[in-house]
Amino acid sequence: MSTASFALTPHPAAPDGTAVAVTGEIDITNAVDFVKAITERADSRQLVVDFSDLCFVDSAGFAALDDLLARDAITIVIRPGSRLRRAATLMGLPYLDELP
Amino acid sequence: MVRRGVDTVGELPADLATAVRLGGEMGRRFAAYDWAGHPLGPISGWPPAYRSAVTAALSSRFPIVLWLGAQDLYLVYNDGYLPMLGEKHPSALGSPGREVWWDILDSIGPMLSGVVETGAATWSDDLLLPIWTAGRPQERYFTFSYGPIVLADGQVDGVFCAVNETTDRVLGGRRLSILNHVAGALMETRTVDDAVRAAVEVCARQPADLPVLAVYVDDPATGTSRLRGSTPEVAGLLPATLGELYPGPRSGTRVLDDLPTRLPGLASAFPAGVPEQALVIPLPDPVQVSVGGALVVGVNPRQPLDDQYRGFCRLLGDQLTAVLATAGLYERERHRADDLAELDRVKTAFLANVSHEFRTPLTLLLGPVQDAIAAAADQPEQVERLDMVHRNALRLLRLVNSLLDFSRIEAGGATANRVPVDLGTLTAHIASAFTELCQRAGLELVIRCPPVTAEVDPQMWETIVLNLLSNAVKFTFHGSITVELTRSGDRVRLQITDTGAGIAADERDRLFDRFYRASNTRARSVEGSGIGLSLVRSLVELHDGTIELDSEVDVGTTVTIRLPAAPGATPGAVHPSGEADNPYVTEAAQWVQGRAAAPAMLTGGRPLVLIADDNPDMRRHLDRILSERWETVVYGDGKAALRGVRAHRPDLVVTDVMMPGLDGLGFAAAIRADPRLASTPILMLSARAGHEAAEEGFRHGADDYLPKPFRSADLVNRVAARLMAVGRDRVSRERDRRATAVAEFRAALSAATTLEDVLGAVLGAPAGSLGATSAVIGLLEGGQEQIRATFAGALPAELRDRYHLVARDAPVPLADVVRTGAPMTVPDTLDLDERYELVVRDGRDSVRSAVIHPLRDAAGMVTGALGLYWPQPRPFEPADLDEVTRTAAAVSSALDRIRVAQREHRIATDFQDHLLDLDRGSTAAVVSAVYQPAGEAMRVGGDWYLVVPLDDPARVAISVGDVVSHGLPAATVMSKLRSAITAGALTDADPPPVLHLLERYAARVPGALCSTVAYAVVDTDTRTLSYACAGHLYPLLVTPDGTTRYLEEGRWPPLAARALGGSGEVGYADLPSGSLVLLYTDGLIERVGESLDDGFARLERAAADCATLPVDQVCTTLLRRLVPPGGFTDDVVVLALRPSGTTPDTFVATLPAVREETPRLRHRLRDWLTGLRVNGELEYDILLGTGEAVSNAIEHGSHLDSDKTVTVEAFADDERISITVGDSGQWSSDSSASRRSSARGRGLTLINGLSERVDTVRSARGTQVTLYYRRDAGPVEVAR
Repeated sequence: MSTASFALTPHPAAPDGTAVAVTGEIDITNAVDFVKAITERADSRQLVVDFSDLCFVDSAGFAALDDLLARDAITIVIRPGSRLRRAATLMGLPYLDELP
Repeated sequence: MVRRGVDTVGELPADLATAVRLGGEMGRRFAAYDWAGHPLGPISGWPPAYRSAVTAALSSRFPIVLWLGAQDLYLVYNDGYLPMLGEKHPSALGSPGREVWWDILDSIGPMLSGVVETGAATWSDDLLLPIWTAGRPQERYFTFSYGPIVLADGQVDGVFCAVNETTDRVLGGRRLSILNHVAGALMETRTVDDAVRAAVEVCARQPADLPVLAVYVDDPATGTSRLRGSTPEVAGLLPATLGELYPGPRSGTRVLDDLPTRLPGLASAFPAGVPEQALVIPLPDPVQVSVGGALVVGVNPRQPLDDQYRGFCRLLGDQLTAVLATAGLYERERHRADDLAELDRVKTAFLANVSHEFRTPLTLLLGPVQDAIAAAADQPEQVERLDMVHRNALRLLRLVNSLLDFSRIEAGGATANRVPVDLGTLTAHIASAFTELCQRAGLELVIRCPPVTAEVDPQMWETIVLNLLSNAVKFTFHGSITVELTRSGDRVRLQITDTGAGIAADERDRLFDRFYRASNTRARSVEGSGIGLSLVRSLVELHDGTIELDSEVDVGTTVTIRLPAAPGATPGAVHPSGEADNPYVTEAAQWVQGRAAAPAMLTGGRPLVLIADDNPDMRRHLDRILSERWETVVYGDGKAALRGVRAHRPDLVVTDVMMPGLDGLGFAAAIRADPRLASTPILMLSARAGHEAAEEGFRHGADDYLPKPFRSADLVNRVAARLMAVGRDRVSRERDRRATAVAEFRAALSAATTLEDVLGAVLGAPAGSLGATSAVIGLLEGGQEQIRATFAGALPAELRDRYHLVARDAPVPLADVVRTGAPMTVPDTLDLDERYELVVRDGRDSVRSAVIHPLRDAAGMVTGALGLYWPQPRPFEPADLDEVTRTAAAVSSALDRIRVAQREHRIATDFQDHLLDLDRGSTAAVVSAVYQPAGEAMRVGGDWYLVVPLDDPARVAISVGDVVSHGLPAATVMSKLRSAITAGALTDADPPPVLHLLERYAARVPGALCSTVAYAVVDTDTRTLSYACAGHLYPLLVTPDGTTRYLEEGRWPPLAARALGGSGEVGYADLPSGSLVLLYTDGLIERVGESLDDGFARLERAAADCATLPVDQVCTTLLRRLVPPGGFTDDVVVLALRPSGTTPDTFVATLPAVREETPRLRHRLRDWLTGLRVNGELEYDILLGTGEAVSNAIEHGSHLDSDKTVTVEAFADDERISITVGDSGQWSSDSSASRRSSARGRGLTLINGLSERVDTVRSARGTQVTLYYRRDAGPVEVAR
């Protein structure tokens, strides 16, 4: 594996399809793809995205999340214990501890 | 041509079936070919000779072609032959030879028919065959043999050909020879014109590789690059300036594609094939003082413009660059010498004119004064005054006469009117004038001058002896002065020996320089013009004599003069000038008279004025004026006067500035430093006029300053005013204290040698910086469009990083001050304009108030700004701003001084850096190298380092070497040897061929003799190092655990010195991942008076501590650790290499500067961290911080240039993981333009926010960011 890739799966806690979980990595090389994938899936309603099990996200990824937030496209969930919590807090990213 | 697949392998005879199976592509094609439908018929019917030839060809990896059938010579060939056929394959199989090779039939046709007719084989070595490729003939070379294929009946029925293409070798050899010739021709050139002419002349003889060559050289006057020389074919075709050949900026090598269109007439100049492409290679101007330009090379259309061709042209460009730089420096030095000579001449002429102008009024003054003295015989007071006038007019006349003599000699206009005299008698006579004076001074004058005849100009001799004697009296306080004349052989020797203060060794050499005055403070007087000894030397030289000075501090001085004797001549009578009006003696007598005339007792009542002056006349004059109104005490030097101040507590002090021992400034400072005396007003007198002299006086504590000459009434008024003000002058004490603090600040500034020192001095002087806690100096650079900031004091690293480079128009107060030139005071940053919102927020925790002041150069241009910061809001008074204005002025002048001091050093370093550009293109290893010139000398040297990335990406060649001498010639030789190593390594990188090549090459380069070289090839696939050292010190290997080992095999003799021995073998060493290879020159370890083994041991100890440092830090650490006290005495080069690869504790990688590499690196780093059992959160923090640093290095440090590399070196121990990310560039974009919301702004936050510590080192070598993470990092919670 020499490129960054991510996967979106329906969240087990939200069978209605309003929440997805992200796994894999989001970085400068695929942040644009991520925004596109989310935008397609959101389909004009707000999508809850659980990043807790995401393996890696870099500054370009955080910038992409800011974009999505600015468009009111997503609500972000990062559960306690996730490796992303410290960086996300440092970046001032608004996130929830649990699915709403 | 495959018509049907009838002939299958299964149907072939067994021998051919095997050959077909081994024959690869051609085996398959041969087997599938429809031989039945071919004139040669089915294979089964072929004669055995064909079959065995085909078997041999197909099973061989050597290129072989068979020409079958005596008539048509049908081609059969193997896989090895395919590159020669190019696009002619696959149709060539089975085709008649003359159809396939129509293009070279003229050359090979007769050979082929010769073989068929006679059976005699041919042999051709490196034969040029212009094979057509892509529609045009290409220059290609082959070594081959045609042999007969003989049938069973003895008849020749075909040709067997083994062939090897040698194009690369032939062209490589030819080009190397051209480079050698060019280097040889350029060696002796000293001017730009010579260099261009020599280069063009050599290249004009090489039309095959250089059909067109032209050199354009920058003309600073017009800002264009002008044509300075070209090969004859294009003379008159090329435009006069480079801009006309192609417009646009010159950066990097460019290929011009449509040369015939750009140069009409080119086609007719090259009927045999017009060059269609040209390379334009910039010749940069490395040292700013020489010339840059561009080299234009037309490309031979018959040779592909491949890497080898480009590399050759680039090396040619490098040679020209080096020689143009040399020429520029040389011309600058010549101009400088011319200027100095002219300056000297003008000075001499000025002296002569001025002296003449002085003599007339002085002479007119002396006569009337003598008359007046005679007329006033009955008025003793008047006589005393007039005597003083007379004495001093005489003294002035003597000084003027000396100056005039001196300028005459300098101008070459003086001739000694030499007559034979009894030098003994003459000298004794002259010297005896000092007898009475010496008696009074308590000195013994010994005169030992037996009769000796010599030819001298008596007046000049008198000047010589009087000057030396008066010097001796001036510096001798007790003991004796001896004048001794002796004759030895045909020389006369005069020695004047005193037991005086002596002269320090470092000043002795300069004593005879004109206007040089020894800074000896122990003298009877500080008066003097500084030309006495210089004049003496000139006069002695006019007599074909020599003068020497031998001296020891506190023991004495001996001056020795040697002249030719004239034993045969009859001495005539001489009449030295009478001693009564000998101005030397009169003047010296003044020094000896009453040195301190303190009064016996003071009558109280009137205020007491203390007078300190070393000139007795002046002392008496002051005393006479002041004693009319006040009590006075009088002292002759600063020390005595200070004692007087302590004893008498005067109400006011009047002091001269220039005094022997403790001078007036020191005297004043001593008074101020003593709290009991500090309030005493001081009036300073000095002959030095001007604002600066007064300023200096005030700085040392003077209250008032009166320049000489002054009117008596002025002095009285000033003293009166001062005395009246004494009572209400308490405030001045505060000012004095402040002045002292400012003086200390200035002293610290004047000791500063770096920007950091200056900032340290600013922050260390609360008086000058108003107690600021942090400070910044921002300086314009990069064509004045950006400001590079250096910070000091309490500021977080992230803030320093974010604002280290600021655009001139950035919304940052510092930039606005630089742009407008107006200072800015900020009592509270939160009240600042919205425009500054970002910087205010970024700095809020450490900067809440600020004063920012522009820095200006001597011409008043803004060069930058000084910022002072406080962590709390505070008000500023107008006086505060005044203080900062003064500080900024002092900082500006300190920076100017540092710039000048560093400039020459930097020229040398820059020049060497340019010559020694470090190629970091290889991904096989992380490499760093430094060059450190000896001392502070402006000197380029013969030490080099070199990195050559090889075609095999797992291998890289490195070298360090040392040319015997120093200076530009050595640098030139060095540059050539370095080019030769590069060329050699690219041809065959193994140590023996490279060193053999270098030896042969060095034998032709004057100055290369006995150069030493260390050369090594690193292979990261096999984890080995092969190396050889020609007379050079052993490479040092350091493994990650700190074990060190010198690599002592592979000894070769120094270059071109085979007689010195050496095994001439290759050394091999294992190079485990994570280990460190060090190459260095002897300057690093050699110290005077020490054995080399001590040096080796010292390096070993220092290197062991570097085992887990990134290579860039290894270089700087070794330089720092091994520098001898007083600095390196020889040039030093250190090269450190660590191969790419990982071990459990180290991770080393080099990646091309492209974004796609970041995920790949991350995954490898994650694997390594997994091996270290790092927990998930820390793993993410490390990957994130490192990734951001790598992204910055790729984008800002390397500008996404895939030829550049970014390096990562990571080390883990039990407590920490440190990761260094390096690039080879400089940030050129505004670092402050990053917003927290933008990617780079976030990057810096992530780099700094998640690590324990971040160190950033920026240097000419690039930027190195080191991130430190604690392995036990608990949940350091970031506030939400």
